[in-house]
Amino acid sequence: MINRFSASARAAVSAAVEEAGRRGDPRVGTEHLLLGLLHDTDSPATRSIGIDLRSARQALDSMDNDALAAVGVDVDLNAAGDTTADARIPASRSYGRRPFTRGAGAALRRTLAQAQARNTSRLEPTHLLLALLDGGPRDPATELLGRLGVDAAAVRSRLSDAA
Amino acid sequence: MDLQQLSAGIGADDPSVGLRAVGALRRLADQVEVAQVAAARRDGWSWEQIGDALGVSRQAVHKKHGRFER
Repeated sequence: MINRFSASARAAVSAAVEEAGRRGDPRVGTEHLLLGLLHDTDSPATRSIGIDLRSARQALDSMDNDALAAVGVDVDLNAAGDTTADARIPASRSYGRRPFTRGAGAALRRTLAQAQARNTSRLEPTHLLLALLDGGPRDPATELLGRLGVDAAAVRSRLSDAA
Repeated sequence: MDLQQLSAGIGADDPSVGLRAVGALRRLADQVEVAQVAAARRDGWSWEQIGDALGVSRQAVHKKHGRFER
């Protein structure tokens, strides 16, 4: 399936792997795919979301810190460094390649369906974004978009206007 | 706060918040481990001593951290 990804869609997926590594997350999830899309600052996908990478990273970090606070742990996870910076020494070490979560795998399969529904065999970042918008409740990308106040319906309509 | 209060807090209203906290705590533990293992090595601790302190084998610690030594 990865062969059908356009160069920019591939770049978004490898940026997602990088985002997971940067945060020290053991797997690449839908939230990382969303951050990966935002690496290309001027793509139709990024413009339709209307949020920059730095803000999205901050939102994800604050979700973590709030969750820690909710269980009574008062610590800033990222006190060790500015995690919104592009270059950060990886805080955690993992072995070998970083696998995708089940949810991220499902999102990549939905990306294919989104492209097929538009009669194109080339998977673009916009198809990935449409797939991420359909994550449903409990999906990390959906939670992150909610935190950012991004309305999925509005993003879909901006995407179809751009098309 | 004792362990019971902690897990009650986790289960209180939203498991998605509680589960996110667990993931964040693991990452936090990992970050602290990386820094502390490096500090111990600089101080001349052996992999065996570090493994004993962490409750894991010497091999496990070395496999995870050894390749990052210069």
